[in-house]
Amino acid sequence: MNALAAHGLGKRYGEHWALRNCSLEVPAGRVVGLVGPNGAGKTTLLQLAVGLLAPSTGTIEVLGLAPGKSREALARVGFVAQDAPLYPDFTVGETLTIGRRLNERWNQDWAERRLAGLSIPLEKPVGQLSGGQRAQVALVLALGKQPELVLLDEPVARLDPLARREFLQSLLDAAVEHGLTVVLSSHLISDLERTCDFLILLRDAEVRLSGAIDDLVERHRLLVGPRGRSTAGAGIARTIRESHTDKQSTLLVETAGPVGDPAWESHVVDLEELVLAYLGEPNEPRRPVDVLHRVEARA
Amino acid sequence: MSWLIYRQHRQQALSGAATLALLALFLGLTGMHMSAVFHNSGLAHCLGAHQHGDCSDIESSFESRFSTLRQLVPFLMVLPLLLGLFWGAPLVARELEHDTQQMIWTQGVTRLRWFSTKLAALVAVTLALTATYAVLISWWLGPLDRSTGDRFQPGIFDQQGALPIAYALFALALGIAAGTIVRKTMSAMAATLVGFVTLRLLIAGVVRRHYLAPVSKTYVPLPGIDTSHAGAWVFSQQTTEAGHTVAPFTIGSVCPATKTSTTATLDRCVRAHSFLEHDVFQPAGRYWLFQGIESAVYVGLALALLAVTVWWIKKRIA
Repeated sequence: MNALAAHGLGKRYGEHWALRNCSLEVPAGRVVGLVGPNGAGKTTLLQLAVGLLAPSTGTIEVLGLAPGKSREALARVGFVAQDAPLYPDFTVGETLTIGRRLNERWNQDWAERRLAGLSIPLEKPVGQLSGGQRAQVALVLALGKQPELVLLDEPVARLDPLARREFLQSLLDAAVEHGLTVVLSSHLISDLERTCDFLILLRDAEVRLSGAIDDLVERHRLLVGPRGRSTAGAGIARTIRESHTDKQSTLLVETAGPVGDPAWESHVVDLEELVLAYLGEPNEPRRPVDVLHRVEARA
Repeated sequence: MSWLIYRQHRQQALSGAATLALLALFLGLTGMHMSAVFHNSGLAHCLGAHQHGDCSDIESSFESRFSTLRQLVPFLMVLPLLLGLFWGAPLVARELEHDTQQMIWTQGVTRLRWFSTKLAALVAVTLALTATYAVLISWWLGPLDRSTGDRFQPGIFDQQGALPIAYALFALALGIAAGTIVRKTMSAMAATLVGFVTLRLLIAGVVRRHYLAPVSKTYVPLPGIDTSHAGAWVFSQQTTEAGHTVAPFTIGSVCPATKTSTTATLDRCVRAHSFLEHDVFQPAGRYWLFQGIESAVYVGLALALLAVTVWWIKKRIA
């Protein structure tokens, strides 16, 4: 069964499409990175998946259920919204009580042990926690109800690099411990590289790339060859990005089999290159560094 | 849910109860004093059933003694509004403002159940508090109502009977709906304030008099006939002499009561000058009917606002 399946999914606000033509399938048990610049539709997709939003077009299912409509769908999907909104006047312990009182399944022992392990005192008001601690409490609230799928919207965006690492590591540990499917969004590829084994890439409200990271990397190649050389017959499905100097051309391509033309020197791409290629404007080469800066600057 | 409601709204409930307690203390003390004076001065006895004496002297001394308190009555209009401002407006708006609806609506309770449970609790507490208040204020106003006979007048009518409860439900629903739609607590409070005051003034000033067609009565104002319509809501009183409008006191100067005049001679004089009295009013007996109609109007509006809110939460939010 797919943890998440969308078909022709779209969300429109007046004339503006926040997400459109979104079709994808995420098998259970994956750790999915949802990547794209801010405003690309990541939050929209996650809110559709948790039932906070209703689709304008198409369908979406989580664990085979309509999102948010039933108590079952709510119980089996955990969600941490952007900036981990919690009641600031509640203590950490009271925040856990929300989870215990409002969910049929709830593992209080696990939640308390986990917070103790993170040295977050239960009697402290949430409003007095650091950003990292608050994100952790929100994660405990989302995982304490023992969901099968957990969705996290930019969970580490406000965290410093150390807290970021710790948070992602603890998320992975929990995912392995509970056999969870995890979807987390980020506008930074570096967050996802170490954590995820499945990628969904959004740009301009559309899914540009989705699949298991190993497959995606396997399907793409960086080709270097003489300038002006035809790409016909080189086993190329399409060119994602190209750049040229006087003498040579560099292409990032999706392959359609082995690269046959020996004039092209074929290199394996890494995930970051791949993502940046898809985030850049097509046929308008940018140096990856520029793209990265541009993406970060919007954060 | 009940724990969450207690945890999130106990402060509001306590403030509400404390406000009511303070009011009860004030109304209790002044009301008991007023009631004591009402009885000890003989006014209660004078106004009692089967008494046909002239109570106007005791009445005016009673009314002037408590005129300051009486002037406070129209200001009680703000009490139901407070519930709309401080309980209604933040209910959904505060969640939306802080994005916490994303947290609370993704627990194992659907957002409609979350809303309906909170609403039920809020309405229950509102009914308990305002019903207590309504009983208290109606008792408090009792002596003044009986002395002045003006409990049907706008500004007095609105403060007693079932109406404080109906206004409170409406204010609450208006606050909740405004908060849900505008998504900001402060703006929702402003909208609630403006909306509530506007509607209250509009209905009290323009609409209410048309709930039922008023009674028009034309009669010969013979001496001894009471033209004051005690307890009624009088729209107009007109005296005519042979078809021409005259001041009401004209009768007294044209047909003065002297030592030699008898009821018969005065009657003859009034008839000879063709004096007629034309009165338009809502009779005192319609008081509770009007209370019922107005309560139904406000409760109906409250229900409509809540229906809009439910639809909005279901279809339009997040």
